[in-house]
Amino acid sequence: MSKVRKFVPVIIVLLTISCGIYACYSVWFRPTRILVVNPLPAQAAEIVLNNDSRYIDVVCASMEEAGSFENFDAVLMYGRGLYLDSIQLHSLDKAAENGIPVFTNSLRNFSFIVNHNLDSTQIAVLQHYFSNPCRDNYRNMLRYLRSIATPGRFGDKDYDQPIDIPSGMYYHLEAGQYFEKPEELTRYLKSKGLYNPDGSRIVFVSGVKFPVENNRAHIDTLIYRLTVMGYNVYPLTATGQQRDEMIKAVGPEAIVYLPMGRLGNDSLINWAYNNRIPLFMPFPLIQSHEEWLDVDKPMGGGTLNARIVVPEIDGGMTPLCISTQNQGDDEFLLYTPEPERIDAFTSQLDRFMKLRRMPNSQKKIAVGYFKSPGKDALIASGMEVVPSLYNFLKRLKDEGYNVTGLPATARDFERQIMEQGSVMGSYAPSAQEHFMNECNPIWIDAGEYEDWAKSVLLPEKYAEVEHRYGKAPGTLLARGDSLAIAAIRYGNILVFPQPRPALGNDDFKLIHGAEVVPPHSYIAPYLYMQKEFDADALIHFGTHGNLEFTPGKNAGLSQADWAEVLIGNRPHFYFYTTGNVGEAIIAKRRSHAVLVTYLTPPYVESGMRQKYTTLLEELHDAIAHPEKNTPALKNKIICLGFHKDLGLDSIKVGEYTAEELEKIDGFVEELANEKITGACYVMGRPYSDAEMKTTVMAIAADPLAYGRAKADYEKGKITKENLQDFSFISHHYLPQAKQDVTKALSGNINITDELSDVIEYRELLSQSAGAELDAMAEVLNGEPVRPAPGGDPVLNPNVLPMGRNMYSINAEATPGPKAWNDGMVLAEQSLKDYYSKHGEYPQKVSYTFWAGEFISSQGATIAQALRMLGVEPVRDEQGRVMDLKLTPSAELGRPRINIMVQVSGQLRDIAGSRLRMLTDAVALAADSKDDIYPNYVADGSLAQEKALVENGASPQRARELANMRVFGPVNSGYSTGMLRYTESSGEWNDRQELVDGYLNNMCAIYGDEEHWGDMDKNLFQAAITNTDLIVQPRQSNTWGPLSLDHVYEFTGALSLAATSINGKEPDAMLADYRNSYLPRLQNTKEAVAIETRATILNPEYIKQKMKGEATTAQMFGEIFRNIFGWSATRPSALQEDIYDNLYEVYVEDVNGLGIEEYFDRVNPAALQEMTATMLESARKGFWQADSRKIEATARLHARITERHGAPCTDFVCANTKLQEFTASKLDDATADKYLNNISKATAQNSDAKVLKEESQNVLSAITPKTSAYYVIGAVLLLLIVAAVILIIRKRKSS
Amino acid sequence: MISILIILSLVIMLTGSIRLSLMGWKATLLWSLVWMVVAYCSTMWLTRLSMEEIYGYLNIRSVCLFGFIESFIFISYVFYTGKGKAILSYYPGLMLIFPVTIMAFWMSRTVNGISFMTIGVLASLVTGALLTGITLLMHQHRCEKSWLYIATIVSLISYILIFGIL
Repeated sequence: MSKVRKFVPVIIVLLTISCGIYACYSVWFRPTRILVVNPLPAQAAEIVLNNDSRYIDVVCASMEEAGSFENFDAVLMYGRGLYLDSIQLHSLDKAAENGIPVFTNSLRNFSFIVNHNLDSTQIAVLQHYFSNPCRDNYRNMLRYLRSIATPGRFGDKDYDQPIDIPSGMYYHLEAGQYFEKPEELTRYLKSKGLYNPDGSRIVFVSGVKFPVENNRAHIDTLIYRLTVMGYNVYPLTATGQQRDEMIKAVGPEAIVYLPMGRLGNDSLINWAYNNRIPLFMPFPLIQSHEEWLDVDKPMGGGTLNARIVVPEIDGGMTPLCISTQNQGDDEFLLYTPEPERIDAFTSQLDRFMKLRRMPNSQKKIAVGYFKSPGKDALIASGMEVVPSLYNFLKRLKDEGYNVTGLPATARDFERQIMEQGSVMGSYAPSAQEHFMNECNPIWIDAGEYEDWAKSVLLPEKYAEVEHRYGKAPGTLLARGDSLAIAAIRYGNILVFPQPRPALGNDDFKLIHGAEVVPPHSYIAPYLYMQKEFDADALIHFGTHGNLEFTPGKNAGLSQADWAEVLIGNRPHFYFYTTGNVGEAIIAKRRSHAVLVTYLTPPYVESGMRQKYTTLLEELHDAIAHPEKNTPALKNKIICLGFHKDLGLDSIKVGEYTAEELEKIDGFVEELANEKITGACYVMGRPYSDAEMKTTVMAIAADPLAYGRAKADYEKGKITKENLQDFSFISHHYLPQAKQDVTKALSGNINITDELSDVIEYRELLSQSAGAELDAMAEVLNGEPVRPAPGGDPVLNPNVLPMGRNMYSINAEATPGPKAWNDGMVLAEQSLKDYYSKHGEYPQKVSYTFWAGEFISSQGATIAQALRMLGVEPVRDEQGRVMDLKLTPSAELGRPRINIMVQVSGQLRDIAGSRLRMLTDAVALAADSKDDIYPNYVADGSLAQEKALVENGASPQRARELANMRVFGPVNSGYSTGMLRYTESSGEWNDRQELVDGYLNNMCAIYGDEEHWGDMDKNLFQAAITNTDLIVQPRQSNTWGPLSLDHVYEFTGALSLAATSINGKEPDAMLADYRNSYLPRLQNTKEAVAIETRATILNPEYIKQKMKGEATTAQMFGEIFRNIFGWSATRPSALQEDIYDNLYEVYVEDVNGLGIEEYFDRVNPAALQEMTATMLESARKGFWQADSRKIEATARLHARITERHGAPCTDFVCANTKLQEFTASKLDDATADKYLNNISKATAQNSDAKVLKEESQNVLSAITPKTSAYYVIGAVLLLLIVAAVILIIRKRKSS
Repeated sequence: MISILIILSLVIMLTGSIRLSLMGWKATLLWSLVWMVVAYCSTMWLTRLSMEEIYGYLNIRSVCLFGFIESFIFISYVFYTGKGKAILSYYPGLMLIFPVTIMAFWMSRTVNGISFMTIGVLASLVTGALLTGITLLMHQHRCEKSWLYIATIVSLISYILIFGIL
């Protein structure tokens, strides 16, 4: 018998024994294995860490990872959002067949609830454990499950019954201590020596029963810190009505809420505000520390929504991130307090609460305002800043603040501000010298400044500043070892201008959004405010500054973000126009600002209706009765110049067609109805009676008219086409509506339900004039500011009254149903208009999306783009857009149109998830099969891929990026840079330079998480290729394409780029949402023409504006610069003779308005800016004027400069070519004086360099020299010779 | 630049094909298969690389240098006898990888809109067809070692000139 055969029985016996041992182990001794599926990280940590039995093994798996259920003894599943695929379900079924108990925790009605091998009692007990999460219950739940799943196993099987945790309870730091009433907690705190009899009561609301026991380091830290600071903290956990009652039972002076949605319903919120209880809402973040700090990982989606967006609806303050979630030693994710942020929060809370107790006379308030450089005015959108600021300071004085030294009159105050509180440009060193010598700046020693900086800034941040600008004191307003800041102190009030955010070429770069640190001159005033002045609160005065647009995270900022550190832990309040909610939200989230809204300028009569009444009647007659359509009518229209605005013929023979007359009628109706604003609003000064009337008219007339039209439509009196026809409504309903509004205001009519709103609007507007100052005075007393929506009051009267804290919308729910409808209508209308003009559909439509329009239209802008693609949203039960689906081609009835979207940084920050959704929609549309119409989206993706490959990208990357269509400024930046580029007109000669700059700055991809913020100029260029139509949204009556610079900044720049790339100019439209009943499209050229006629060339408008002061006057300069911007980017948008008309109105003063005297009196720098813009336009060739006009303009410009000195604004003083050009149009003596005046302010300008992209041509490294061609020829020759030799030899051999 | 790449590819292709045609049929077929696989893998690899990265890898000077070395191997093969020749007879001309890669590069950049796997397969088929076709042609014309010798001389001169110029 061989050796092997001898051992076989031994082996068999050993194997049998092993199997037997294993079997015994498995049956009686093996630990019970429990699988937990789909827990939140913190829940997983709770369960595992509370398992104290060595006979239980717990494995946690995410929904995606869960599988092999049959390998476990029991399965627990968290039902929230749970979805298992077919393979997982099969495994689960197998496990159930094997007798494995499966339990799904269903605290709510989730769609996936699976329980196996458990009777109803067992299910109820398990549910009881889960419903009362605490240490004991987690432990005993596992033991209980073990007793069900493996009852035969040896070992500890004891368990306790579930403990009932009260659904609502107060608790504190000590685990296991719960209280039903606040008095009980008070007794407990006293017994522990934690109660401060003089301390304020703070209610602290954390999550719903979770975390209560473990994983609450961040909560414990907050409670501890607040207690140590002397507050009596009442932490509670509860939901619904119980929460309301428990909060009220405490009688708190403040509420701290770690938000997950709203704090409570409107009733609770109103109670809080009625009882002057501020709401603080810092939040924990379910991101790691590194992710939190990573700028390329912005807060978005559900987290942004639940932690920030929704709490804003309650008016929550201090949106600071106080903890992150990081892996502990046990490899579980645990909440980790962020110490510096907790310090920041508790400090802000404490300072805010101190405002309630501190006497006003002792409070120190810093007020930062915004100003154009040089002699130009203080600026704030729609607000006359100097008198408003003066009124505010006077109000503070009336409230008992120490405002010693405040000048007696606003005029004196203005003089002082202009002298001592100016903003310097780096191009004006002489002006800087004058300021330092003559204007009483505050001097800061460089050493002291450095100490401040090092105590506030992270070392690496300060190192960046030194690296770029050198050691303190820097170069601007610096002398020796000291740095001068512009600031004026009135007792305990510090008033200072926000300085320029960068210097020289960098001034350029920060505006571009590149990550450039601010210079010493920018940082110093803020550090002075914190360290030397030690402000109790900081106010920014008016819309808007740039601190909130410094680089960094979109929300949940840290010490690494400039806005956070420069404001410091001061309560921050911000006067902000109600008309600009998009940018206001950025201020809230990035500088923890509490907003206080102020009113827009009043709406006034443009006079256009009166001017064109007769013409309108003639047009209506001619349309209704063709025989009244005469050549005389056509002549009249041509003389008025409307034919140019509408692209009609100018032949004074014959008549216009009926269609053309309709077009003209629509244009004139629009002109007649155009809403214009008057002089800038002054805070504390109510609208005059006339202004009140016209403003109420602007708000109330349209809704009244449309309401009546809708009622008639429902009765069948008018058709749907009539209802959607702006001209029809204007002609048939608006006049009567206006009459009724007038009568209602004068009390000459019964106030029906229909007209009651009219009276209410008047009341609210009347209240608003003082409301801003009241609200600011209250918040400086530590009282909360009520929340409100934002926007143009004409579009949304709910924004009234003023003095409130604006909030945004829930981006996850957009586009809402109405917004979807509006977007669809606009998209189809734009295609119809394009098709009727060109006879084909556009290949690509390029959109501009802004935050304000997104908010006001509830996402209709996004809806337009989706509809273009032929994709529609799919909503869940709560109305959130959860998915997308293709609109079938047959139903769509047209090709899927390709899109490109450029977004503002603000929109990127508040609605990042919508941008990703758009990209998903593009991918869906591009992959669409079986379309019966062409698919331009698929074609576009292929073209984009090809273009990228041709430009050197790898095919894989090109494929990944083929569906990217959403672009914007550099990540954490907010500007296209085009304003600065364009208006630094001395630095560029060719429009192509503007195109290059635009493509460089706006090529950040915002399509998916992987490529979020990646810059790819070639991709952006490919995406713009074949753009046939550009659409820009418009939702406010307070601005138009001429009065708001951002319109040319985005639309003009995009148009210019598209023209350069494609060789033809795309059509341009405005998606007009100003009328919520009738969103419609407006041709950009027509919109510009209407605004030109109704405002800048309208004597009535000018007269109204001339009632204003310096800031109002400054707006003229802004409009002129915007016109220049359009000339540079899309000149076809302007009337051909616009500069000639501007010359007549403002230089020749044909209307006899006293233009020069007005500007001389209130703001000469503005007229200098205006004339400089015209001269620069002439120099650039935009204005083809005769020499007489140019010389007259130059003389006016020189005259003002002679009287008032150089304005030191960018446009004039930073442009030597313009100065030389101007001088060349003057006589010698005047030219000398002019140049002398300019040189008093400026040094010799160094040649400014436009940022140029370094083009890296790899091929250039190996581009062959010329002689290479000889080499190639020689080699070819050799080959030929070799071939010949071979052939000859072969022939010989054969 | 592109012209130099094409010239080099042609030169190497010629030399390599002649070398392949001097091997037995089985060996030739086997190597063609290998180059087809190489073409597929190259295509998949090159789809991940940008032009800049590719120029880093497809450094012409390096190619010239390696080609230069290979030329000596071919010359040795032509003139050696005995054991050395037996060893050298197994050497197929590895520089063929260069024109194969160029082919893969061209395919990966020219064909858009279809999956990369399909492009890889196409590239390998084209490579196989080209190699087989040229080798067949050489066989038909009764290609001899002297052809290899001349082709090697031509390629040597090309490498020297191109290397020198660049």
